[in-house]
Amino acid sequence: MKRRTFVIGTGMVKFGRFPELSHREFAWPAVREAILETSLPKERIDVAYSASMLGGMLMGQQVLGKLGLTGLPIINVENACSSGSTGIGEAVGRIEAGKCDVALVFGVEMLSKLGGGPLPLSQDDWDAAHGLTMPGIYAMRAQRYLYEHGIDRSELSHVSVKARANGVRNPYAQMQTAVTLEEVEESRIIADPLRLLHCCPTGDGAAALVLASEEGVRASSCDNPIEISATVVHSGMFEPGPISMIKSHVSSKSASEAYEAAGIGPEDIDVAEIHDSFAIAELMYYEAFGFCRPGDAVSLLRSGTTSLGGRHVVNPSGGLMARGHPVAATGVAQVVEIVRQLQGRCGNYQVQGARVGLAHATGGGISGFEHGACGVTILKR
Amino acid sequence: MTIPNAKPRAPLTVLPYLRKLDGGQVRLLATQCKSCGYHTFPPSTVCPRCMSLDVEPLELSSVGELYSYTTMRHADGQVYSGYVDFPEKIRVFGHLWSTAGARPHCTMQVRVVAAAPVEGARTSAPVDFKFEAADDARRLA
Repeated sequence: MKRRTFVIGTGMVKFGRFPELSHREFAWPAVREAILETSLPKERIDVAYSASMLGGMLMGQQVLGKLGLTGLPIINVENACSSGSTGIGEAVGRIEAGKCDVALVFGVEMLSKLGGGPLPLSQDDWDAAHGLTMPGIYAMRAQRYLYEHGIDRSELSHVSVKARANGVRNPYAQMQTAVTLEEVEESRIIADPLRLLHCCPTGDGAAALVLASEEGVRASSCDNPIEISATVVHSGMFEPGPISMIKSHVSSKSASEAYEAAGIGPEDIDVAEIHDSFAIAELMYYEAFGFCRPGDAVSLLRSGTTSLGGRHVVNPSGGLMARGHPVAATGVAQVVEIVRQLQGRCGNYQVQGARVGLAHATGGGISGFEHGACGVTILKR
Repeated sequence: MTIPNAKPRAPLTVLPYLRKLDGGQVRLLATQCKSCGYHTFPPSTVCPRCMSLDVEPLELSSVGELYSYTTMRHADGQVYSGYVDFPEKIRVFGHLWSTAGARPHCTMQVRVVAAAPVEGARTSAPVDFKFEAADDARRLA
């Protein structure tokens, strides 16, 4: 039988733009916080997974060297926007298999070092070499979604308003100011129909988790461990022919596998952090996770069900659009947020009584793939 | 002229993706697997379904359907770009026309035409083809 896995430590730094710091100087406080929260001596950590897409070689060693956490297996992970989720999935697998009791997972990305503009994609890639960017990909999803469902483009802006309103309450968020519908509608076009305020910001972030088996939990001081009921990672399918860009096959598949493994359904999710890299993404993923039927995402959003105070709160942290989207850090940051929600630690963006939460990070622009990868994790208190 | 210290750059495909016909017309080239019949684009020397190396060029139809589109910067201006679905079950990303022209729409028919690569463009590919409205009355740019 598989062993159970719990989160016993969380750490995160404020997201934003900190180009004056190196990756190692920026990220170590998140890792230290997560370890200190467990009261375990750092020597109890059996393995460390470090997620980064653009930081350069040996990011794990760079950051963990600062804290003298070395000599253990340090595994550096890259899987685009799902890098952090992939690290979590691998760490859980190792604990489940009985190969370790305590695992550290952290993610760090510093997009401020690129200057500005969209994420650089591989220039060996057909679409990217012809000028396609991540905003462009999601813009085409949005265009097609509006076309197929007969929805006005202004509906996208409600997603941004909700995200930014939540970000005001989150001390870790990169964007901590609210925006109005008018401000979203008047922001400049990035990739039609997406405007600037329909897009996540580029910035820096780092987040860390300590995961443990039951034995690891007992050794720690953690009195409210949060169980990882399921974690699923998939790559997208390579498909050079016509496929829907508004139904995320890899997210739907990952979601249904995670629901099944956790023995729950979408109706059981109290709080979710999902991959709202662009306004259309949140709407698409409501559908992929079964929160509503295809085409009903705008109605669900406008009903308040997914807002703070609603039955299924989505992205109370502000999500990628307000907390920020430092690529490889995102999957770890989402789980930090969900764990703290389930522990009742989220202050004025707390989802009252939350017992079951979900985190979802997907992405990676690559020709012929709907998405490069997708990670879904379900947590329970 | 060789630029000193220039980084080596690999072409996007090792097989040709564009065929020039008499009269200035062009067609996109995919590959078809002779073992399993699967089509792929960009053209590839290995079949992504059965891994056979027995592949042959497949000329795509001149007209496809625009699945979706957006805008992007190219050279000194803004252009529409989008995914075009060909009857051969191949989807190709390419450029359409300047945003000074009429707005495209999902499902419109577009034709592949030759394009002159633009100096100082924001793309690493030559962009030596583009799509235009297949209905000549709506031809733009």
